[in-house]
Amino acid sequence: MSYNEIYFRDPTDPKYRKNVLESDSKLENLITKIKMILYTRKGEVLGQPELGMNLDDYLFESKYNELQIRDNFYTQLAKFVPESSEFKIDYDVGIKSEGYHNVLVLNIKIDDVKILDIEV
Amino acid sequence: MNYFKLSKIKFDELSTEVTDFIQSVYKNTKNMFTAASPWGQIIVTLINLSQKIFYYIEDSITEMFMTTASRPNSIRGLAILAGHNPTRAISASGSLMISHNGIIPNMSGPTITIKNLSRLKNNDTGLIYTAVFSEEELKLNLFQPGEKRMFKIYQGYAESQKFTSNGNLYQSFNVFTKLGLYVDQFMISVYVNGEKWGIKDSFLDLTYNEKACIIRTGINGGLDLYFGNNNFGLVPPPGAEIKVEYLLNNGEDGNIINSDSASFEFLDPGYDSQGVEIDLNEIFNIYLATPVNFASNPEPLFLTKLIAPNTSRSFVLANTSHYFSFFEKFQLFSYIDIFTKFDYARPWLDNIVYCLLIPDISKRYRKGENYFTIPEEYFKLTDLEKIKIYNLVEQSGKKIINSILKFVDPIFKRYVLYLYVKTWEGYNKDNVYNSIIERLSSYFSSFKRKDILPKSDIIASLEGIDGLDSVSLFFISEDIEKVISALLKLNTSDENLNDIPESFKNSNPSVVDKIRTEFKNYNNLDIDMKLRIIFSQLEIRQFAADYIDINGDIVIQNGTIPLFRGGWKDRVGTTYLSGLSKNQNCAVNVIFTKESSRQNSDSEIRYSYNKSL
Repeated sequence: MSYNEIYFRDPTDPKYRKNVLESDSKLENLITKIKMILYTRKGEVLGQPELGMNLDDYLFESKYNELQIRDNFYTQLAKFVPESSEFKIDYDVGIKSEGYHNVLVLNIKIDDVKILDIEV
Repeated sequence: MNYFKLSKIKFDELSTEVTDFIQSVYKNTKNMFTAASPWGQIIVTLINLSQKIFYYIEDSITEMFMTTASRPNSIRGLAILAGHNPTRAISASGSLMISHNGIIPNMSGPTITIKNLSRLKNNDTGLIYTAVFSEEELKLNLFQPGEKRMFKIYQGYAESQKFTSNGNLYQSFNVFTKLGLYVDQFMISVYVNGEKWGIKDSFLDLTYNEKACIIRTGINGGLDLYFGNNNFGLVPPPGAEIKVEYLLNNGEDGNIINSDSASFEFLDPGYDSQGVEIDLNEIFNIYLATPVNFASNPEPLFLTKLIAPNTSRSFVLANTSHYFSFFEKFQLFSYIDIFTKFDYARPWLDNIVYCLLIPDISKRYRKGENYFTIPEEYFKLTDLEKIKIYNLVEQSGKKIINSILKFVDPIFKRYVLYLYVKTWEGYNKDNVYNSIIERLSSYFSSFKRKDILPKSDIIASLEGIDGLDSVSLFFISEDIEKVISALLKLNTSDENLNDIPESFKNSNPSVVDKIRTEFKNYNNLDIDMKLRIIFSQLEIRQFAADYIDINGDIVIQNGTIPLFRGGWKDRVGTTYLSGLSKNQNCAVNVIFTKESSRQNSDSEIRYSYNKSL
């Protein structure tokens, strides 16, 4: 069942649509929620101390636990994105070396379509 | 549109109303708008912001009333609004005597000068004391035989802060002080451009262009200083230097309990006629002339809450409740009774305020002392202490002109206590005994009731002592025993009649004759028979009930204080020692009757269960 939501894409986003204020696409709303989880730090939203993945904590980490990040993501989905069960959401954590530093890459696919690629 | 029902105004109900409304409008499940959804997040944040607003409103209302307020700032603020000025700490004060020890140091001229506010250190408390002279400096001629001087000392040291006036009306300044030290209640001076100004309690006390100001206890500690508006108190001119000088003290830690062995040393030097420094400790013997005591800590918050509503708005000590609050806030007394008398034939009697004060003895205990072992004099104010209290009242400037403060010495009624104790097996009885004495001492030291001393309070105070299973107790009154033992000695001759207290004979003139006649009617009466005859008299039973009532509680008569002390004999000639003893009869007699077995069924489990009930 679709529902209306505030259109929330950033103007710098390649898929940003001008003059759109409202979204009734279920997929679009799902992507909005996933982005909200990924870009929020815990405690930032008043009254919801558990919302957010604290991804920037990994910025200066030399070690990371892939399983923990994945587990954290799916916990957030279960708690804050109830409609996620209607989709097949894959979350891959990869690592690539760029000279003197490592880059953590998070790939998110919805129904086997890559929708988000975040590098930390 | 009626979004919210007036009957549902609790926060949870409002929150549910919001989500229900969204659900009905968007025709979807309310789970969709979670905090991860932009719209849901706005709702969640608004709900939580509303909760915060509710919290702040409730908190402000709570803190606006004296009975519900909990924050120190709120309580002090409300108290000040009610006209109550929370009492600051009072320095311990006393006097010292210095005498020349015969040593003449290398100095020019015969005279040593000691400056006012010179500092001394007490070697017992380790605290600083300040010498206060009536003049700027004290001059002692070392070549005059037997040269000695007495001067006052106050615990603490002088400190000052300076401010600059901007010439405005109603100027106010806050004097901040160091943490852990208190500003003295009385030792404060204010100077404007070096001239000493007066200190008043209220703006209304300031007269036209009077060089005076108001000092109040600061809401956040320290002091608040207020100047007037020319009509009520002169305004300090613009640029004037305002200097506040005050004594910083350590509250009741400054009391010197062991006066006999108190030793002081000067921290500041004296000066010869050329201004060269001289070590005063080398040339003077320092003695304690009068005890250094009467210090108190700042008024605690619970007391501010309690006494602020009794504050006299006109800053006077007029009725008994004003006096009660006045003495209560100094925290120097464990028992306060203020009363007046009225007599049509003597109308002036109404102006006398009678005051019965028992010093807080717990502050007078030396190491190893307790309620039962301290000297009986500790329970009374000394003449010197009475003078200090008079000065305290006069110094406050609150006493109305026609009232007379009269101290009433307490009448102590002596009692001894018998405790029958069952312990759990395996516990050391000495430890149980010591715990009982400690608890009883603490209870009696802070006893404040004016009607009865209940047995149940004592039992409750002993509850929880490790190893104690059961307690039963009774009191014996010295006055009752004195009368009974005198009556028991009544025989055909009147040789023992003088043993009966006059007070009893005067109030019960016929009962002695009645008992004597009864004794004559029977021959060879044993003590039990005699007691039966004595207690068959109504007057005797009424007399006894004035001391110990039907419940076995001690009845406190007007102006009397129950005191647990031995030093007397009972009806059968048993002598009670004045101190404490485990083996002999004394003020507290603890008798261990039985050890309750831990192995006996599940008694200890049941005991623990009952205790938790």
